[in-house]
Order: sequence, then C-alpha cells, then structure tokens
Amino acid sequence: MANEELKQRALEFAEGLAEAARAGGMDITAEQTRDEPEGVTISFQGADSRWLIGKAGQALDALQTMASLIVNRQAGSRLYITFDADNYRARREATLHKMATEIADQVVSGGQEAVLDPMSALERRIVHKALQDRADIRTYSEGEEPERYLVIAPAIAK
Amino acid sequence: MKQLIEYLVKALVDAPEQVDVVEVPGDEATTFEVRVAPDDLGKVIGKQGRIANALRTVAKAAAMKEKKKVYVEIVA
Repeated sequence: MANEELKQRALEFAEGLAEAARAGGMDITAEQTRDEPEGVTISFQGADSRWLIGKAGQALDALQTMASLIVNRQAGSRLYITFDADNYRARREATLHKMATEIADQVVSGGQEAVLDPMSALERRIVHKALQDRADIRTYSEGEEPERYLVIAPAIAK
Repeated sequence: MKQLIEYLVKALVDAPEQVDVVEVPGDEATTFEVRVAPDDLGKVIGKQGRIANALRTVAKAAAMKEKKKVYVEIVA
C-alpha cells in the first residue's frame, strides 16, 4: 500500500478520535502538521487536547502505538506516525535539552556518571543528540525496553 | 469518555459491530467494561497486555479532565 494511502488512513483515524472525544464533551480537533516521505505528524488542538498527553506524554505515546498498529495493519510498507497535542513534543524537547545540559555539567564537575530515568527511544535520541557535540561527556543506553535508560558519563580520559 | 474508548476498541478489532462498552459508575471510580468478539480478544489485549494498557493509559489521562478515576476492563 502506498504511503499516501496510509497517511490518509492515519489522518482519518486521528479525526475520528477527535470526533469521539467531542461526542464525549471534549474540545479537540486533529490536523496534520508535518508531512514527510516516511511519516506524518498529526497534532491535536483545542482547549481539551492537553488531556490526551498524560503523565510524561504516556497517553500520547499510547495513542501513537495504537494508531501505528491500526494504520499499518495489512500494509506492505510502514508509515511512522507522530502524535502531538497542545505543542507537547516541542515543549518536552526543550525541557529535555535543558535537563541534559544541566546533568552533563554536574557529571563534568562531579566526575561521576549519571543514570537517567527510563525514556522512550525518541526521548533518548533527543538527549543523546543534545549532548553529542560535547567533548567532555559521553552518553550511552543500557537496559531493556521499555525500561531502557540513558547514562551520561564523563568522557574517557585521554 | 465512553465514546473515546469505544472508538479506539472498534478501530482495533476485526468485528467492530460486536464491540460493546458499558460504563459502570462507582463511588471512587468509573469502570468501563469492554466486550469484543472472542476472535478479537487478542487484538484488544495485545502481547503482554500492551494494547489493553495503552487503552488504560489514554482513558486515565482523559479522565483527569473530570478529576475522575477510571478502570478499563476487557471482559472475556
């Protein structure tokens, strides 16, 4: 199945979800906000869209998992679906950047590695990328999904 | 809330016409009993309950708007 068809399916799924939420008295709409060859980003907007985020974005991730399963079912190719709500992804990225920098500074000044809480692959990548240009620290992941976590350690002494 | 759960469950299964969601109000929490065709049970539960847990996560988050506690039970 062509990706264009899958994108259409993804958008229909999200619009149906927003409609079901509205039927339940929530002010939520869905809109495609990014279109890439391999994936789409669909954003939920409206006064109640923040109730789809959940603690640390868990509800948004859960919806994304279900959407991916439903949309890619019986499809030869795979479409990457990202859901956003109330601009959560961008806000979370900024928070992770700030946290990563602060922890990296502590690791450098204290000389001890720091073990972060388990995070999704997406969030680990954000932290890793935020720190990849720093020569004074290194980052690596340990543990098994969904408990996989990132470690920020001092750079290996030369 | 019921509509939201019903929508997600119907999208997950092969036999959406056999999906039934019943809202059972309680003193401390509302329970949503989800019934599907026997052949669809695996689809709403998922490997190691992953899909059922995803449904619970979404329902819990949405219920925070009303400051309510909710349970989602897949009834076989």
